[in-house]
Amino acid sequence: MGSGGMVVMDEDSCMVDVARYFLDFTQKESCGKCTFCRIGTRHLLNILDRITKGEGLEQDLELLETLSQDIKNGSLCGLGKTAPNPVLTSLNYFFDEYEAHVKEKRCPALKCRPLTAYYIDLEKCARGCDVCVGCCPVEAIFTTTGRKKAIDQEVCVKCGECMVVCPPEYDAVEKVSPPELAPIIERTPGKKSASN
Amino acid sequence: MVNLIVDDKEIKAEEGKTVLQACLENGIFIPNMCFIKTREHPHASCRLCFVEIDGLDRPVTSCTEQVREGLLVRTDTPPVRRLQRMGFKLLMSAHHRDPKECPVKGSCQLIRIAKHLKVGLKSRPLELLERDIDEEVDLTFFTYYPFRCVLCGKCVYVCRQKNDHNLLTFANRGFDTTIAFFGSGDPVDFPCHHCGACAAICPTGALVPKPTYTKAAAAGDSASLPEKGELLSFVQIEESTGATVFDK
Repeated sequence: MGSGGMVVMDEDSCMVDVARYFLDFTQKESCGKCTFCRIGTRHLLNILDRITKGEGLEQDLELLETLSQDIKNGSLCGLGKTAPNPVLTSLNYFFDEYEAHVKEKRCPALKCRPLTAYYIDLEKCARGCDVCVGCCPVEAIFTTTGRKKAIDQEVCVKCGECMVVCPPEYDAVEKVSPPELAPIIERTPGKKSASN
Repeated sequence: MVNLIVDDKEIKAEEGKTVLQACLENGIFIPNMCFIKTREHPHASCRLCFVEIDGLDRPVTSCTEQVREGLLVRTDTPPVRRLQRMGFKLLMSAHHRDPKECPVKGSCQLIRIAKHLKVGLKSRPLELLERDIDEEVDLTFFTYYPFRCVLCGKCVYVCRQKNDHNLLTFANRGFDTTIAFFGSGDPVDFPCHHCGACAAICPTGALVPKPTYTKAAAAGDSASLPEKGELLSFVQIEESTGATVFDK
């Protein structure tokens, strides 16, 4: 009984994040009777959480593999036996994404927020256009030299709205990972931002 | 009686018994936390009693395998040890060790299992887990220590066996599972007879009777907690095997 389904994802889906999503689901659905599923999947979720936040360690990848195998073999019911599958298969087919997260603190899909940053390409930004400034929910965008716009990295929450609203003829907002690749532009003190 | 071979040793067991029962009765120790001798349907929740049986490609829990004539069992293969050690480390990652306060220090089933598996009591490489619950929980007649509890379910089973009502129960779900006690309001109205069986059967000392109820017993109160000798007559933990024997 039951049905089969297929989910199609493109390069904008982070496979580490997808694995973390399924483990979050498992932790919520686990009945809690047996040790491997109850406690083991919590460990898997914690490790994947840390990796997607850029706090992954080298030994985490090996631990994910061994712990997943043991949970698969040690669990009492089908939930526990299949819960580690997203981790095991994504480690198998998308190991490069895991490595990028752990070794370079980089998310290849540009999905994991702590590992990404937005910035405005000053060559493409048009003077006098204020669309991004108005849409930013945390007022992180300010006017810099030549009346062009820049993003204050300390304030930015990486919602991506500025990228959505920037007119297609300019297409000036860029997203990068790791976040250090985004140029830091200082707000000039005393100069009013365009929203004032 | 059936004959089976465990670790190259021939043993006999009554038909209908499980491999775990057969081994423990014959002096072969297999790590277990949730096993009760006279319980018909094993709880099978601790996932520590793994063995390898000839013909099966993966380790299985010995508490759920019936004995059969000519069964070939191994209790010490690398796949078995790997699962047991990981299971043990998982338990220790959710367990707060407090050797000074712990009422079962020295006799704790976890220490016994650690020695058998030749592992330490630390949960490394797993980190110690945080839980959204207090260190001590008031359950009216006793104090419950969730960070000592391994959720083996023995206390719940014993309470149901001894009383008409099931006063102890599992509550919540998943990682937040805990033991809860039915009833609020005036403790005089509770059907709990203070038999203390739950506290006595707990392998990790997670249920500790409150001193006030012990004092009440000493004063000749009708709702009295039996003396230690009385408790042991219906709940025994066998020294040699660590199996819990429960007679009604």
